[in-house]
Amino acid sequence: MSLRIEALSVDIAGRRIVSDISLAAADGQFTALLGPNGSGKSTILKALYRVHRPAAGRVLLDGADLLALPARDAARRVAVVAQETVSEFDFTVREMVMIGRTPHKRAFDGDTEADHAAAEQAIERSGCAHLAQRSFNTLSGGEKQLVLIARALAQGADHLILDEPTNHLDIRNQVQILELIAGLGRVILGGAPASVLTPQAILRAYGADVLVIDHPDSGTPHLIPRRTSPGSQAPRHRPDIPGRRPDIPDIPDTSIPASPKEP
Amino acid sequence: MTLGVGVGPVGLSPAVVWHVIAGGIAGHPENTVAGIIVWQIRLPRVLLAALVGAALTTAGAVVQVLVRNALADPFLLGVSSGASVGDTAVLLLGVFASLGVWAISVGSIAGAMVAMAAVFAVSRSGRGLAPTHLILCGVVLSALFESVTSFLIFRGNPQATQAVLFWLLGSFGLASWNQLPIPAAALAAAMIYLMAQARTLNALAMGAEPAASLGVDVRRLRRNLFLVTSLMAGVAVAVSGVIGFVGLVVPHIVRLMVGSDHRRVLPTGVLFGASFMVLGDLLARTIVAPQEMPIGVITAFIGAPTLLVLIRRRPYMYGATQ
Repeated sequence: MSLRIEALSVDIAGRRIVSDISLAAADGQFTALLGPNGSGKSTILKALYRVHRPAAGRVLLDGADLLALPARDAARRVAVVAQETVSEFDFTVREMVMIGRTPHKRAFDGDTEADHAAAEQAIERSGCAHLAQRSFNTLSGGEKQLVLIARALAQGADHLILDEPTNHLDIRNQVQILELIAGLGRVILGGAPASVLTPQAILRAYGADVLVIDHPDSGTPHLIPRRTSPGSQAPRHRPDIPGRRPDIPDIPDTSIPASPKEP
Repeated sequence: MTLGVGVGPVGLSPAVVWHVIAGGIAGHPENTVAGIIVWQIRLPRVLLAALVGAALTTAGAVVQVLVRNALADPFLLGVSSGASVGDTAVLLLGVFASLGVWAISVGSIAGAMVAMAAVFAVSRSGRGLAPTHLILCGVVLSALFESVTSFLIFRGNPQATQAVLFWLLGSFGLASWNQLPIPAAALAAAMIYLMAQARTLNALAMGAEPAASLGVDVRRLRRNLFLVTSLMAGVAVAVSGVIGFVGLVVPHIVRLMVGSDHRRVLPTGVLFGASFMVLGDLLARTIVAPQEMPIGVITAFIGAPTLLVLIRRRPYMYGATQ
């Protein structure tokens, strides 16, 4: 199991948002993509699940071209937890998780024992069994995130993509989510917010490979090996930015309003 | 249904009604007064109301997923206003006059198709049919078509204008057996397609990006849903005029009853929509008897307050959209 991005470029509305990025996420490993708003994290991840079509480059899943697979087959290999909090429709938690079985189903197929088992297991694994009967819309932000992770687990994919999974969560929920993710043993690529509440220190504590992406046109994201002590391998230094916190040198600064809005 | 057939200017007992229906199905409708009333007048009318109710409810439920807004209506996509133009042209300008009794149906279907094609063409953007785009284009083009209708009415003679107005408010008064096959076939075909897609409809209800990540071809699904709902709404308008609120309120009530899983919403919607419309038509015939109220008045009268109650009861569903 591995996910490799080679020389990926993505254009949105004629503008190059991601330029010539290469990175790899290793087996059983949580790879965190860190960067300020507008650095192209989400765009890279969205290119992996076909929201954006890459202008150049390839995405390799175990050496095979992911984007050449039929959408249903790809969805059985790669599941996504994206930022979504509002649903116009009132699904229960169990129904939400069952929707994760969609790529395994053809027209008119009913739910089988295996589907229910996969959903129950996913609900159990992500610790939201107590929420199963609730309406998704009435959950808190942290609970919603757990349910979305459960849905992705029910999808049965061996690769997981998370787009800012701890966004808008308080520190306790962030830790809970990170613990859950770190223990999944799948190939995981997560766009993590470079927020003050989720410094690389936390990510490293959970055994993540940390890739720092500075700006779309800076090329290849910076790779910080796992479990190094903060500062020992500081990435590209940005002395021109005032207000940087010297004690955590390798966190991209987000106190500065990033110019382009993240798509 | 039995009630819908039995009640009317001439009251008939359920036993009589079923007796006539059984005879009719066996192939020799009775020539008694009751037989003619039931078989020639009331039964086709009730069946047509049921079909239209089911079609509008299904179209409404699907449009709400398509534009990801629980307050959407099947007529949002411009179908009804396009059909109105077609119909007004038939009644006031004598277009399609050579087609006789079929002229109104043909006119409104043609109008609906033109409106549908226009909305589809205008709202197609680089990433397929985006919900906001679709709503805006639908509303704008509807306004345009309505102004054309108003212009035609303004230029037309007053007597024909009354006919147009009556048609615009909807009625099953002209129902007959030969009107039934087309809506029945349209509804059946649409339901087969939609039930096959019910699971992907659930995925699309999550939003376009989550649906894509679940392996759904969002662009193709949206295009097909657009076609299916527009055709259903177009056919419904062609046989009965513009009957508002059914496609908006009934899917809502159904979701309150059975939840949001479309594998349950769609079949329940067909039954509930059909019953709702039959009862609505019953009221339309009886409230101001022997005159007949346009059914659009009834559905709006029941539908609008129901919707307000729903909105007030569940603020979290309507208050906090992105």
